[in-house]
Amino acid sequence: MKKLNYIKGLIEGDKLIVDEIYKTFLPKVSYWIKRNHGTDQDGFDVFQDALEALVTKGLEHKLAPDTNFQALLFAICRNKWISAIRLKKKEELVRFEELSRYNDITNIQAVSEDAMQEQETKKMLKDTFILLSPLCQQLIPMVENKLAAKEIAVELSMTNANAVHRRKFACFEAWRKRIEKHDYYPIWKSLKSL
Amino acid sequence: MSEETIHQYLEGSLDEQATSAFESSLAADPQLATQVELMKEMKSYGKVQDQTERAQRVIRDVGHKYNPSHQAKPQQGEQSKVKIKRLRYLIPAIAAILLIGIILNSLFQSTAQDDTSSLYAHYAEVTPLSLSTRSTENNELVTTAEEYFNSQDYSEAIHALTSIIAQDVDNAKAIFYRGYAYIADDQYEAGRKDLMSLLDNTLYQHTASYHIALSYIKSGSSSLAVPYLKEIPASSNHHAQAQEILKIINE
Repeated sequence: MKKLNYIKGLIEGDKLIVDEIYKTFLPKVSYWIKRNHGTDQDGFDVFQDALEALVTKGLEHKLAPDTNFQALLFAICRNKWISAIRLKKKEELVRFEELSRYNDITNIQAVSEDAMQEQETKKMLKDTFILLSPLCQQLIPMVENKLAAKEIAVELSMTNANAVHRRKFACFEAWRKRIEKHDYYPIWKSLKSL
Repeated sequence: MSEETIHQYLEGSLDEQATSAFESSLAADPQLATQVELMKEMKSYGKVQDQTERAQRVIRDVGHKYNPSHQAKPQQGEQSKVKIKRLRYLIPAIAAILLIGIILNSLFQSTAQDDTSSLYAHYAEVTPLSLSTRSTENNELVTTAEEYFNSQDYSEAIHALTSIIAQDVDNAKAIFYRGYAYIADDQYEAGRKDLMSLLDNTLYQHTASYHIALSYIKSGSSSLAVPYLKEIPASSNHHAQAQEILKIINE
């Protein structure tokens, strides 16, 4: 029951639940990261990053209702820290036995790796979305949340519903072009074609 | 395959026949499949973007008190009082240094201001405004805007252009010239807002980038101009000038 509440609380931005998540799980993650050549700051950064990845996953309904929150959170943290130290060439020094014990839980490892890729994809989308004009940044969420074109026209001071449709395609096209120039795009593309 | 069709497919608004034709193309064309996958990601991001931002803000806000770098900051109190006592003897010396600093800074600033102003004046020229072919209904307004703009009465030109834009929100030319006028009139934020709205416009995107860069130069923040100048491709009319400015900034 509580596992579900953690995810829900994260997605809904419930400050009390988010606070409880930090209080309950951050010390364990920090402890593990410190034992694996990290610092308190590394632990905090990895943990916060993992929570953000979980929000993305939860919002896109990619988490099964019976997902073990703690196991998934630890698996994501572990993968993130391994990726980080891989850059520092310290991978062989990591003591896998602790946080990795949760990997035995069905599918957790796959879900956590998937979450990392998704976070990279989201970062690419975000990096490029914020380069769009303010109008496009307002219009796309409205269109995708199925607001009526007439209402959008009024809200964004556009002439009429046709202008909304025209602008919608122009905004998506501009966004796509920026994505195609993003550093992560070739990686995303190759992952998709696997 | 048009982007519109991809949207329609993903939104489920194609009829049965068109859907099955689209799916046949999808199975045979990996490039189209990638396009569709990307569009799916974009639409999904667009849908939850607001909520994601909100949730992530809460994570960061709440996390602030758990952040070790935040906790490590020294405590206020007795210790700072001692520091202030020690600093008491240094106050006259600090005041003198500050005074000299202010004088030197104002001298340098006026030189720097002159440099950036002349750089802006040299590179910011635009062709005279001519909107008259665009509209037949707003002739008087158009003539007024053109006259004010071309005589460099930018604040009046802004008023006239705003009226034109209110009647034709997609008038990119008027938006561009109003952006230019705002910047010429030192209203940088408003000018950049207009120009940034044109960064998706195929006709004006590079000109807009170029003038956003110039606005930063004019307002004395040349380093912020660099990414905009670098973005201007060799195919643009502004490429050569952008490269010259980049050289000057780097020097």
